[in-house]
Amino acid sequence: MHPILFFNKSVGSLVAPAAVWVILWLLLLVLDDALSLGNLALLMVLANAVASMWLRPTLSVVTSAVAVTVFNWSFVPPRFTFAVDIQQDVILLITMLVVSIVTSYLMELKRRAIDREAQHQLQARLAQEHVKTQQLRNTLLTSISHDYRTPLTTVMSSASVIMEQAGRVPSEKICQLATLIFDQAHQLHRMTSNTLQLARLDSQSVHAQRNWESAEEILGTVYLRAQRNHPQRKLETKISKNLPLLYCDAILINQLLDNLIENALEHSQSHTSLLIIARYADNELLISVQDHGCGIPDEWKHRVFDIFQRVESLSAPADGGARWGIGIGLAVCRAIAEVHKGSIDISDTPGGGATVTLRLPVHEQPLHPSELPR
Amino acid sequence: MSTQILLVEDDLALRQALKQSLEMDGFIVDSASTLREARTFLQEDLNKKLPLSRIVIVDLGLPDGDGSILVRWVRDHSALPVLIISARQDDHSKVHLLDLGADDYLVKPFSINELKARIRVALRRQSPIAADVRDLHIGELEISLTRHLVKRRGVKVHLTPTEFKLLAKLVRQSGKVVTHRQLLLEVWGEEYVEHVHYLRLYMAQLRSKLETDPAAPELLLTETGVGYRFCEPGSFAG
Repeated sequence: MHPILFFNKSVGSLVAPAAVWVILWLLLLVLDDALSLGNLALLMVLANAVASMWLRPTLSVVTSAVAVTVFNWSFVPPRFTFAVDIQQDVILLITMLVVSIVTSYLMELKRRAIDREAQHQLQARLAQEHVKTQQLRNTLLTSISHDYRTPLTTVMSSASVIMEQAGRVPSEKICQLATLIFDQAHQLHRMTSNTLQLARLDSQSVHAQRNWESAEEILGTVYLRAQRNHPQRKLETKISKNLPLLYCDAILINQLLDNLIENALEHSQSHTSLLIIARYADNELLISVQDHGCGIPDEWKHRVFDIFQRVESLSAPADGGARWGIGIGLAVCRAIAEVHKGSIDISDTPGGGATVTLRLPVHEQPLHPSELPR
Repeated sequence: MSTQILLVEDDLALRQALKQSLEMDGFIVDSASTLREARTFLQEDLNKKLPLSRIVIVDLGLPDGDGSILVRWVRDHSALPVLIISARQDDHSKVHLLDLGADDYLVKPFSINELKARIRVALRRQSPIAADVRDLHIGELEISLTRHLVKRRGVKVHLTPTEFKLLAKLVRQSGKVVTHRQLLLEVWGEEYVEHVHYLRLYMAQLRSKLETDPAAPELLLTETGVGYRFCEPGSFAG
């Protein structure tokens, strides 16, 4: 912080300048015999300059006038009178007074300039935050109106078929409809978690709850969950041995990887497999999710991470895997990566498809418990 | 004696859905929608001094206060199993409540099957005969806590004393979540309760010795942000 800005904050407080003056007068009394009158006067000018950092200019001028008068009475010969013997001492006293006044005035100018600058910065920041909040709110509203209504319609119409046609619908049809309701509800759950997470990460009021986590463990959990939700899909993992521990928020990283895998599954045909790779290189932990879907055109590789961008593929595959970046899934991924000072990018899978890679910085590892082999 | 469940949840729709589903499985379900109601109900229960087979399921967000107050109250007055329902994955109060002795937790939205699995585990722990798991066969694994022995496909697996202590703690409570703090306290002691990285390293070692595929564990499950769970023996398919 700027030193004058610091002093500026306590303008109006009289404790500091009073202390400065007390120290000065004690010093003057102690050094009375040791120093010449000129040096004593210089000490006083210095004290006045320091004291004026806290004082309003009028008060500062008054104090310096009083100080010069008292200095004259107590130190300038003939001592203990207001008279002045030598003409030079008159110049000394006048110079002291003028220097003190000029210092007070300069301090005030500087103080005002800093005040103005701080105010400008505050206004600029508020304006910027306002724009960001507006953008996010609009995005969330669009998300709710656009992406929520479709699954909700499916849920409502499936449920009403069961309600209205109860006796007439064969039981396997009811089971199909119930499955549809379940899947759509699951989709709504994912979108809700993502929307809430994005709002939370953006507000910057929520801090990540970091701890030492094992990448292998996180990937194990994510893998099991994905396999449970998509038993018909083939998921493979290739995880290097002895990966370093990550210092991260495991819940956030879980959500990020869930999104990547769900996205990849959604955008590749159901007979293709998915590969999850984790490895360590150059002080970074790299986790890739590799699919063999329709891939992402180069010009879209950055934009899919922006909220509400989708890629409408020219040659949409039969099972509808053409839309990328559904709603805000990938935007949440990027936000989570950034909270961890990491990054995320998309490249082509050799032979076709997309590979999304998350890079997380690796921190200095904690000490091993003594029993562990090193 | 069929098991009674007290379901404390303020949302009417969820209360009805859970009640219906649990009653189909033969449970007797009472419900309460506020802290007050739940406390009055349980107080009457305690006054009767009858042997009770009851489980309490508590939602943390209740209209007249936080469900954690009820969890603490139940722990102070009885040993009834308590399951927590929380609305958020990153709700840290649930970890704290597990440390205080709540039995398990579920995050909304959960499936009814998950809930039933947790109830089964809580019931098993409550029954005096089977409360203490000491020896079990699970898949190709044979674990005997009494004989200090672990075998995989009939071959003895060498575990260090610390690894065995960690495994034993999880097996004794199999099916139930055990928090990081509870594990660190049991295996390493009070001054190590913050050293979560010990668990990461030892769990990796245990998995490499016991799991068929350590990258897709079936026995030693991770409860993200909370702790670990040894899979419920009855649920193991492999």
